[in-house]
Amino acid sequence: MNRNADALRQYEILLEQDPNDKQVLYQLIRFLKSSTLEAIDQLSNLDQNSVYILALRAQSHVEQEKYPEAIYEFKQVLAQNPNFPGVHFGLGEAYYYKVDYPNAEKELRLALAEDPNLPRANFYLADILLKASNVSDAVPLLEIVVAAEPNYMKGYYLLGKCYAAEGKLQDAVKLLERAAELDQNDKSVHYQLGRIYKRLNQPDKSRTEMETFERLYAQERELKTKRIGGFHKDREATKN
Amino acid sequence: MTTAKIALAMPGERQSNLRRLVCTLIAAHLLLGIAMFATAAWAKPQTTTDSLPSQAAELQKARDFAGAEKLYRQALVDAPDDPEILKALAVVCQAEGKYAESIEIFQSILKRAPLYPGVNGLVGTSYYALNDFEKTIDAMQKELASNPKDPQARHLLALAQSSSGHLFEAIQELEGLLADYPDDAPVLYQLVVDYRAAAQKSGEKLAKRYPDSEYLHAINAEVYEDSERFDDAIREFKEVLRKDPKFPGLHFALGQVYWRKNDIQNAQDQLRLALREEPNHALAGYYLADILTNQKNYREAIPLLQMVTAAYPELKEAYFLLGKCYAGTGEDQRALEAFNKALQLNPNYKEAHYQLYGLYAHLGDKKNSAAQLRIFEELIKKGQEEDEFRLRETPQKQTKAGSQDD
Repeated sequence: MNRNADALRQYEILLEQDPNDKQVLYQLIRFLKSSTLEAIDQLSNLDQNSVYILALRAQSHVEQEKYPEAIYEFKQVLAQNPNFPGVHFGLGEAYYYKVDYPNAEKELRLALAEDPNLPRANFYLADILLKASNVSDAVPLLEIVVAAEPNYMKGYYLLGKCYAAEGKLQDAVKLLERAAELDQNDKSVHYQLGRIYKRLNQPDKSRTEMETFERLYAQERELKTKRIGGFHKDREATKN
Repeated sequence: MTTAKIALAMPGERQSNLRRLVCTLIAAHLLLGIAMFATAAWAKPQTTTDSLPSQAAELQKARDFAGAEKLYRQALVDAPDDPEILKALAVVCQAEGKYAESIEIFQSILKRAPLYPGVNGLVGTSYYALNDFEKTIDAMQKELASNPKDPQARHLLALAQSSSGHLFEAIQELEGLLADYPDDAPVLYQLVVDYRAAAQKSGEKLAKRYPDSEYLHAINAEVYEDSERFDDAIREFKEVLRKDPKFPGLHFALGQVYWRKNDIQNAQDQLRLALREEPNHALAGYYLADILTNQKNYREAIPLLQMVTAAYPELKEAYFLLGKCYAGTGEDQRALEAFNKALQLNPNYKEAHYQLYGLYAHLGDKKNSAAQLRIFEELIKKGQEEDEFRLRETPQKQTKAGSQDD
């Protein structure tokens, strides 16, 4: 057992003693970040042009929202090893965020042919189908998402919207309430709930949800204004 | 800012992509009669000498799984409880993708002999293929109880732990595996994926529990800096400063971002504050010395660089700067020593060769000066050739990749 494993165990012990210790959490994140870099260095020392490095580079581009670069790297992975695990999902995800839906759909379907239960592949594909108003094909995919990833708020949200579109309002409410439990600060969930409660003739509940939506919306705007203000202030300070 | 900006790999997603490949690999190795790892006892081919099983094994080798299955089933008519035939049959079912069926057969062996060699590992593989990670973990732990060093079982255990969100356990398992097999690229790759996922998960936890804490702003700042979004990083670090002016390492962190952004005045201010807090902070010293050297403030830079080289004796850039400072103050002999030390650490350090060319010329040593210039020019030429090669190669690659979209 090496020192990293020991260090991780120590962090685990500290967090078992106090799971809310923010300083320990902060140090743990930094430790995990530096261990990631250490492992990347080791992998790179073995062969800096290996398919593993290409895949990591591609993933890193996705994380930095550099989608064309990510697609380029994933294609290099595909060229080196067409069976590299996750390459179709990676490409599908990059195309999805690049808003190239035809290519995204193609790659996501390939990913799902390999593993039909991939939660995010199902989610992205469902979202693409919904954008084309194809609710009925999106529903089974989203049902897989909520079953496979029960803490993923967006799965419940989209499935709730689908059920609402199909007129299954009670089912939609259950899903959206679960989504609201998972993320209390997502304004869209409350907006949808407000609309569905209105359709269900429950004006009090509808009003409460709409009020929550408006409060969150106002908070978001305030934060945005503050950030823009701060940004201008920083720029002015830099100029002076 | 209420969200952790750590944009990293999703744990479950990327793991589950591995499932099919892992199962295919294991099945393939079993079918070829080759153990995936030397010590993987449960992956050994069955060696029965009875005629039907032998014929079935031949068909397995030829990848005729349906034929092999038929023969194993015929063999079981005469010996319905033979664990080796049952095991072989289950392996064939696994290779055919009939995972549930294979589990049933493996379990019939384990019912009578809970630690029958290799069977827990094999049943774990089938569970893994079906995304049943808890049962995979259980099976692999049983396999490892009788064969604790089995790398295949350890690897699959780590994958299952990772897929089920037990990232710390997965990392510990992989680190242990890496200690025994330091050059195992798939293990290292998995380790990177899991470390990143764990960092993401911990970041999300911090963001959820302390959405506006100084710690979250500090993490966000570091992530922005990693992505070279320096203005965003500075804004986040300033938020940390506002919340806790004594946050450890903050002035250095800010100084480093300003230095990378080439905002010299702010960098200098922050780095001086960092050094006031911690006079032996080597990196703060290095960055400040770099600025001072550029400003020709050699006398102030020298003690900083001496401190840096004591802390980082392998940092060639520090010797290079030290050489420039000594040359600037007229301490030629010391400058020669510093540049040569930089070249000891990296003989292809072209800037050091260039400085030596000038220094030898200044000292009237034409021979050494010319020699250094020659090396410098060779290195420049080599660099240009490599750049041209890359330039030629990149559009070709991009065209090739682009054409695949069509």
